[in-house]
Amino acid sequence: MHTRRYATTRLVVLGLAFHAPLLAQTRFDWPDTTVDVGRYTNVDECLAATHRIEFGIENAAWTPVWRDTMPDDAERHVAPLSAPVTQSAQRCAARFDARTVSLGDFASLAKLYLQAGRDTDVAEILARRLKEIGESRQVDRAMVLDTVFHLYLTAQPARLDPAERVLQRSEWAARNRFVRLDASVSLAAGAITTGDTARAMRVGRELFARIDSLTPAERNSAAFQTSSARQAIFLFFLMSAKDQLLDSLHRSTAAYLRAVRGMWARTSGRTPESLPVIGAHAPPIAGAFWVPSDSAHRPRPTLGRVSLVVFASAPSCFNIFELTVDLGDLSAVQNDGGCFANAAALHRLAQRFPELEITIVSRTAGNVFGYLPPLSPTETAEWLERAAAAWKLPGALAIVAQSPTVRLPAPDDRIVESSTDSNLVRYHFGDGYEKQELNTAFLVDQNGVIVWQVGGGIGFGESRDVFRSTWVPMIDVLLHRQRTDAATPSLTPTAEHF
Amino acid sequence: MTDTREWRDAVPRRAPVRLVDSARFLSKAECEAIARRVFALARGGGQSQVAISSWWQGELRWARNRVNLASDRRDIRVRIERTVIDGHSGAVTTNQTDDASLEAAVRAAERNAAVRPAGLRPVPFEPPPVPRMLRPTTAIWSEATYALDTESRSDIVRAIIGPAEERKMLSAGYLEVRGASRVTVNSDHSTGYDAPWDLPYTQWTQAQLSLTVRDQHGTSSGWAGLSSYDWSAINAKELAVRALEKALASRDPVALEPGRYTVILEAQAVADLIEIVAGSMSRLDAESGRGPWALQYDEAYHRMRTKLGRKVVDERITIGHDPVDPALGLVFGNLATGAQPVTWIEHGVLTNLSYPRDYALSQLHTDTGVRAMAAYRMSGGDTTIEEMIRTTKRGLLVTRFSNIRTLESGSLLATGLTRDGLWLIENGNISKAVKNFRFTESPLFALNSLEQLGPAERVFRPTVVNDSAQPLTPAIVPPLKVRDFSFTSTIDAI
Amino acid sequence: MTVHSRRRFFGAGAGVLGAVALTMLPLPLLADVGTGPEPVPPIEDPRLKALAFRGVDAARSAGASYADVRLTHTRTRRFDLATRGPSSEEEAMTVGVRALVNGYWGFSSSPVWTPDELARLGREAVHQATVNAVGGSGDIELAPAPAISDGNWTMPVERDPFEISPFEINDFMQSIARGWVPAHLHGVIFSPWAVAFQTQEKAFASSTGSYCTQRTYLTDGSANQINLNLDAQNTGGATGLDCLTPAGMGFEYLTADRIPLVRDHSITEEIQRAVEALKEDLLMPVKSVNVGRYDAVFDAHTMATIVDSTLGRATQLDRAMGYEANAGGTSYFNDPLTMVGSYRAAAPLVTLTANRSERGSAATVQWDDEGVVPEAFTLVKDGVLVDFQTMRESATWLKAYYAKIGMSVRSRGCATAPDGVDAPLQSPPNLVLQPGSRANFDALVAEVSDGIAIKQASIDIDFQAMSGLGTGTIYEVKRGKRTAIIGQSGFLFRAPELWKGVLALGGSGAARRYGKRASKGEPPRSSASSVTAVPATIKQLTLINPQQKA
Repeated sequence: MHTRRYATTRLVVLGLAFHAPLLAQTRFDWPDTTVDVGRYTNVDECLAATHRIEFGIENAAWTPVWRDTMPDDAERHVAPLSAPVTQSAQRCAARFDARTVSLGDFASLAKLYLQAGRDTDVAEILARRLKEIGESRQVDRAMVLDTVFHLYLTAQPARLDPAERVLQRSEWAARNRFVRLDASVSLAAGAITTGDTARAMRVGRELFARIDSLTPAERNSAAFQTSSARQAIFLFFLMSAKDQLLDSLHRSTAAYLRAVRGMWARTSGRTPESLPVIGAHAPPIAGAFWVPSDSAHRPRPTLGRVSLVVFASAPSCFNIFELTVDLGDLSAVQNDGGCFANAAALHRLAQRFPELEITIVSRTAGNVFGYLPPLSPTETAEWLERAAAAWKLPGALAIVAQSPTVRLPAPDDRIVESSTDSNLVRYHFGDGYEKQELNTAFLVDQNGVIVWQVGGGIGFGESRDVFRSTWVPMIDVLLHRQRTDAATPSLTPTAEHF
Repeated sequence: MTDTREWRDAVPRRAPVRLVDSARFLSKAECEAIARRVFALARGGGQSQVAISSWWQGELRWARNRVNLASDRRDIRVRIERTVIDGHSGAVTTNQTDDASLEAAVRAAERNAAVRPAGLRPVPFEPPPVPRMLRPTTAIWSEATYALDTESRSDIVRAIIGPAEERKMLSAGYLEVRGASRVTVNSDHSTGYDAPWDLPYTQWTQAQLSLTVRDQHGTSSGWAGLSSYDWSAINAKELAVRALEKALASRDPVALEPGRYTVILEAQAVADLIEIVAGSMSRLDAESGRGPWALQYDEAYHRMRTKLGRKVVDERITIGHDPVDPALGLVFGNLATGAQPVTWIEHGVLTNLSYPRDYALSQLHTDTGVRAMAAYRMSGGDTTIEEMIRTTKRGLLVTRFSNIRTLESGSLLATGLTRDGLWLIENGNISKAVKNFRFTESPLFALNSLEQLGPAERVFRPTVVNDSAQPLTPAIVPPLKVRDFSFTSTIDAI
Repeated sequence: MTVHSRRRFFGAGAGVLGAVALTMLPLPLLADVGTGPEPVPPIEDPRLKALAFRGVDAARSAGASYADVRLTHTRTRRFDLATRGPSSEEEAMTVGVRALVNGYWGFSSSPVWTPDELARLGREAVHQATVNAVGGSGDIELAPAPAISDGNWTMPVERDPFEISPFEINDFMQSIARGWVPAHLHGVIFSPWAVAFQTQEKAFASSTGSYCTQRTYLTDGSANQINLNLDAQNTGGATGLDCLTPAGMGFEYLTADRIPLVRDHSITEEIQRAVEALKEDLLMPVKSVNVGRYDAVFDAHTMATIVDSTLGRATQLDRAMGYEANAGGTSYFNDPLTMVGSYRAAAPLVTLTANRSERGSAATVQWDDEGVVPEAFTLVKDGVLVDFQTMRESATWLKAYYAKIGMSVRSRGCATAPDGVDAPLQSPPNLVLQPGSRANFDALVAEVSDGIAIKQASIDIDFQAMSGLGTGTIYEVKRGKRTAIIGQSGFLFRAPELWKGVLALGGSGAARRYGKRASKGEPPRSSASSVTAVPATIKQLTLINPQQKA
């Protein structure tokens, strides 16, 4: 009985960890809380159950004990579902025979089959569904394929082969080309995050072809320009073409910029110069307080050093209004993954590249942890120093002693956040570049030129993935360039890089 | 609030509560023992919060001039909340305090905590220590109430029923005295979560008396009632007389045309209307655009602005609450909302809306919230009801309202019924009894159409024992003379 | 013996309980059924009979001519979408003793189940009655109630919510939430969804020798709301599922594919239908109120609410006699003893019956709280007021009437003590508005050439259950079709005219049952009951704009 095993793995979710109280009375007693999902009659109940169990496992895992590196999310893409979840899915799905089951809730059913590892049955019900729809209704067929495609991609682990097979089908032609583009990008992203380099390249080439086949009209169409895929496609190119990029970067930043801007023009249909941020000069960071205090002797980023500038000054990050937990208690990780993910990634980078200069930009908010009267900037800076220590933040922490708040006129008296601090203003790169305070990070070469940026205007979403697939090799190259005694670095990306 | 300032210092300093034998509800020692047991039974660290309330009530109910139920009742509520180390929390409630029951409850609370999904876990919050507040020296415990024993209650009701019977009228009513105690303690917090201020344990009393006198054929009805923590503040004889007189005077009412009338609202009627206002005084609602106090969206700050600081009602109106107001008795609530006097409306200007302490900390950088308008004192004037009547050419005298419901939250437009005594006033005199009306009116409109205000007085506003966790809700309200009050239909109910 | 056992308890317990056990208030022990503290036994345990009669005997020997005792053990468990497992749980045990001395009632209650406490409560109840023998004179009568010898009953439910894993209950609620999320119901928010399950074990003993125990269930999912946004501009509306009102059912109330009189489809489908109906309303043209009088078609939901708030209240004899005058009010049957049997309360096609035996209804019991087996009865027959809701005392007020029509004086079994700590008070039984001849709501609408139709109205009624203001979804009806929504509209009515103006009633196929909660008494307490009603057409109803000031 698998539930036994839960109990021993602290999975109190099943309630088995509790024994009847002294003098066992009826009071508050729960019936046996193990659920026989085998009796469930509807697919959504099954999904609710597997979701609940998965949740429970995460709960148990998340009980926050600080680790100095965050669990690497990328692993989750390749890791299978935990046994209890799969087993429940199997038991619950047992009653649904793929050949006879009603396809009323097709999507839920496919999802459940995937959880139960019954991939062939997914194929089966897909075939049945398409048969139901009939040959004539191509659009409907394509939509079903779309559904299944994304179920394959989001399954755990992601089912890339069947996903790619679905993507090859002719029915997609019936739909908007950008939908198909987006699908390819998703697949490519999946390939990258799961470290499937070969597939990433293959899909990449196919994407090149599709992009090139776009007519200028299509390129300039709102549909494309606003397509969620566009930025992603660009970034994807950078990654799939990483070899050339790293190569050019190894030669010179100028060469690198030419290559990047070329790809930007090619994918966006805009002028090469319109590429924001990358190529710009990194303005110096101002800080009234520096942690450690001696790091302020020279302006940062330091010329002659490869440097990473990370903005972590969003109110939801370090010195936040609402954050009322003790610094030691990181259960807030749950509510605010961003900062911590960033902190951990930085931590990993710092461990890997001791020569890399890391500057974290923060600011005082005037009100830390609800302490009253509000802390002075100095006191706030001390809090932040403790925070940096607690989160094992590497590098230097620059703190702008500027309260990001204003008080509304009486009798309203609310403290509202003011949108800017001096560093943020300086690191604003024109229109079309929406800055994003939280986790916006800039990679700066030894001449102070920004060669890469995450967060803000362009981003591949989860910064963790980008760190893994892009920052590491780029920093690698830059540092090699910097070392006088540099031996020619290996430019072939290792699996670890992906 | 000027109303209370003059006597503020005059109050003799004495213990806020008088400890008496706890035969009828849980004593401080008993509550502490229960809390200690719960803390000791907790497993898996984290914090435990225990809210214990217990009550006794002596009740006497009569109808048709005869007592139909006399009772002595007690109960206990122990609410146990366990917050385990990763922030999950779960709560259960029981009314049994033996060890086995408490352990069962603690286990159940922990079990419930354990199954809360992670996404919902609250962030554990250790509030900054609350600065020691002055402990109000006002009483909340009345020996007169607690000592009003069965015999005394029957004497009182006998004296109430007698006169009605002599006049061949039917009296129905309810007399209730309550002694109750309450404590909320947290294993991690040094002080209790609830007032009275820095005392975790409170015991208090509440007395209420209300009666309705009707004639044999149900063609008239008169009501009077009063509630207070202190029985000695309730004059049973006076209430009995008032209800009887109203009943006698309201026989054979005539129907009037619906329309706008000048109304003289007795204090109780005003209090009934104010209920709607009291329920609307939320700063969070206003700032999310709900209710009557939202102004408009401020693009510059991306915030909804409120009517704070603006004149919202007649400048003769001031509504506030001072915890040391002896006429109200010490009213307690969330410790985090402090012991300071609060003024919600001052000389017609909206000066405060209620908010919790975490709002104060995060949004205002102040350390206490503003308590809800549960208990309040409304400023009055010096025009007696007789004077109001004398100066009214044509209008209505309203005893009280019933079945009030808000129709539109933005304007607080409400509908409800007059009840238990409605009279027409012509040329300065009460001319005849009038059939009840349904009104459709906003209390805010009424408070902006004031002609005269009478002296503020206590009204009938008891809490229900099931809500013994709720703070008491005494109110002091003036009678008002209001222009153009909108009555929309006649009803035949008496 | 008892003294001994108590001493034994304290001897054993003092160490464990510390200060708690040594207090003047007899603190709750585990149940002590006479042999010392022990885990609370199930209500069927024969030894509880002895405990209960401890109270009866104490009252009798203190001078009560009649006494009864209620022991209740109540468990409540709430679930909502946000939580895994229950969101809150409550469990309470209470006991109350009621005594009749020379025609005056005394009552005493507490949370303690021990022989000594029962004895104390018995004596205290008598003390209350004796001291407060105020007003009136002489004894009162109680309608006869045949003695029950050790009856035991459990409300029949298919799935006892307290025997089912909380996780299964939660999975089901989650699955409902998932069920309609898919694209075809885009823009629908079903929230919040909370369900409360309650079960109560109750033992009743009386000085007539009656003893019975019963276990009842109450399931309430009415706290739900469906919001629908038609477009990005959030133009939309809200509705609620009206098939989740309080009911005497178990978990099957949620899971069953269909429940007679409640719903014909699974909850998931009911939600989808509710959304479709809401969509239809939102897409209808909106007209403003044209104040006036119109023939009106009420849906079953509205009729149930009207039955509950008018006839349901007005036919409570204690109300009609003025016993609630100082609380909820009286009744427009203001001279009940003369009106009963002759007063034309409604159109001849209206018949209103009452019972406490319907399976699945909220007020259903085997014995009421005076140990009476409630028999089904008729309140309004062919439009004539023929009876009132009563309990043992109030039934005797109708003695003369019953004699005249050759009926024996019987309590209608409406005595209710929601909890042992509460004294019994008369509260509504399940009511049934007998069906008529028309098929359903639409059939009734089809008969109206120029009028209005009303769905899911809520009613404000006055303190004599007479004059009401209704608000709800009100449609314009032209030539038998609902042609538009009448915005910001409501209706005024007087119960006597409304009931006399009933032109047609829907048939049994259109009957629907809804659970209602009613608050009554001093101090106020609430009880649940069910109302089964059919759609109806009412003559010349007054349509108004409720927000229009004078």
